[in-house]
Amino acid sequence: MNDRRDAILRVEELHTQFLTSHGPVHAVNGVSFEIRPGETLGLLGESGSGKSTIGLSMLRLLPPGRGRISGGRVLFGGEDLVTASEKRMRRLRGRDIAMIFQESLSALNPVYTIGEQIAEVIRQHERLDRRAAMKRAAEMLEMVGMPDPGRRLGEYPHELSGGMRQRVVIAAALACQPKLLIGDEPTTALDVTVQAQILDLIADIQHRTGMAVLFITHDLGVVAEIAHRAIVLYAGRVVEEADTQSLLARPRMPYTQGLLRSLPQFAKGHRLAAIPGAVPNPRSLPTGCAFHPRCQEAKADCAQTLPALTEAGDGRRVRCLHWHNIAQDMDLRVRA
Amino acid sequence: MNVLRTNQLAASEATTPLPPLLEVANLQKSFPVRHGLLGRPTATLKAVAGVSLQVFPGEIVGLVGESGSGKTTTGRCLLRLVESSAGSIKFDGVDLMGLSARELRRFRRRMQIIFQDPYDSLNERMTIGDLVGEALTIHGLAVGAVRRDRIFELLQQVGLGSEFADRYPHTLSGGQRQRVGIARALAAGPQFLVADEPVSALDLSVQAQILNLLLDIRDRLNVGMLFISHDLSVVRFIADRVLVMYLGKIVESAPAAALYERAAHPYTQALLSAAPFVGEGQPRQRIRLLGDLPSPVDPPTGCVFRTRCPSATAECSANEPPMRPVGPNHFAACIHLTAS
Repeated sequence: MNDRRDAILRVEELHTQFLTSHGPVHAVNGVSFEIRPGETLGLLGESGSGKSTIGLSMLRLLPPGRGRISGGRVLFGGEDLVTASEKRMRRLRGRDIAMIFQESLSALNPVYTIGEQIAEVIRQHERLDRRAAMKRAAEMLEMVGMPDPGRRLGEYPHELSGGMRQRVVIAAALACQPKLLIGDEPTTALDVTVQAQILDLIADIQHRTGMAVLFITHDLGVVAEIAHRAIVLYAGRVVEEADTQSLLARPRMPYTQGLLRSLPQFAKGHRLAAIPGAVPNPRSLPTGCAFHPRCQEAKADCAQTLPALTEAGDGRRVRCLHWHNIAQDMDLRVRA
Repeated sequence: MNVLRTNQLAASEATTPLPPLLEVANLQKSFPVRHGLLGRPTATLKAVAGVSLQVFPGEIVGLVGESGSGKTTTGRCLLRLVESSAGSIKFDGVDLMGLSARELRRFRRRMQIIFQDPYDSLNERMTIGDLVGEALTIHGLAVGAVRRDRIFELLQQVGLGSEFADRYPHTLSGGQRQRVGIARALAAGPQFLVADEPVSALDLSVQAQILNLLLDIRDRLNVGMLFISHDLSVVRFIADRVLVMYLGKIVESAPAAALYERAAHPYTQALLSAAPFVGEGQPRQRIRLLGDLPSPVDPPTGCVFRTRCPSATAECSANEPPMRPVGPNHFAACIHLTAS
């Protein structure tokens, strides 16, 4: 399982910068991880953590002239996407790697029908005539649980609800059976009942096709629900990685512990154990461990030394100077 | 602590029945649906279809629902930010619906709103001090040094130091902005607050700080609050009582703990089961709801939830189910329920 050759995707020491009027801002500061076929990796972070930038960097979709990859490799099946030609990237995007975003309405073109848009994706990558592509589009809509798919083909995006539009986006993303699906908060704008349907749908399709999924989210609940393994990001760095169950039951990094304690369902008494302060501005990151100004466990050395991402056994990694001295037992019984 | 407070509330109710601060009966709001910009209205959209509720002083009532449920419109109607189509809203015994615009102004300072988006709701050209002091000026409550001291006090109250008074919104984080939004709402000394998704736009670590702050404010100022949210776990934590809304109607009303332990309405049960689960033990058996929310332009006959309800029968389309008692202070609108 841990054999490195198994991974379909390996991100190595990825660095991404944004150029601003105040100089370069380091959004991603040396992030490494890998995903295996059939696996869902959760990328968990708050605003400014760099989670969305990682997704955009992997597909080379950073805003031209403003964002750039300043170091590292993104190995997809052994090929480095950082140095691949734009032509090669166009072949890979949508066919081998698909990405879905939070805003499904902006991902769809309002003047084309649902069917035309899915068929278009298919015909970009496969030699199929219009009719065959439409037939495949209908099959895709059926697979994503769209009622009455034949009729829906002729409808326009505005005629659908948010949940149905997100299904269309997923249908288009999966039309060419990608090996890797990247979802950037794909269920965040949806109601919980619809979110549950979409999470089930993605897991279902993964089960059938064996695709790998990178699920980018701020929501611990969504990670708990869908990810096999999860990475916690803070200020552009990986601060903890573990299989989802251990991460949520025995978090080791004080930041992850703080996030879990912030959840209303774990309130002790009638106040929440909030993390003080706010996430740091990427323009002026704290020295040493970026979390130290907000950390209850911080010692003097935390302000000086940037902790390395350390192996902590059982395939876990943690970025904290004092992780072995920090209590790991959290009482995560849901409040009665 | 919560239990203690609720008991005290119950005890005081038993001796001298406290009148509700806010009493809403059969509130309705319809919007005309037009085709084209100037077209004739061709249909009506019933955003709020007969909502009744009460909020007592010092009580936080949670209003939970998904998008399109009418929860935000309900909140706006209560403050007459949106004019209701029918029903009555009594605030401190006075019927707000009968008030003229001028009379209403005197009540405005006693009822305030906290908005969801701390990025959109603050004027970027004003200093934090002026933003917080705006209500003091509008209602003629304080000028000069008194006004300045009151602004400092309000900033302190929401956990921002007086040094924030000279800063501008763009220098603040999302959580700090929401604190400013709360200070603005408190400036005129309200007795009742509508908090409309006040933490939905915030990071998890900051959300907890703001929820704690709202509880501090309730405890200190004894304000009544309608807390509108789509997030069941947030509402469970903060609210004393919870109302569940679906397609313009309240389908269940219960004390917070009872709602989460013994949800009676099939919609509430589905909503609870759909929420992602973090923690020890087994997640709830997920109840899958089919399809989407029906259009509020053409709501189902009888029970509005029947088209997606796993327990719907033929009778559900006949009549609108009334709210029926299912436990102490616990009501649900479903004909298939029996009192427990």
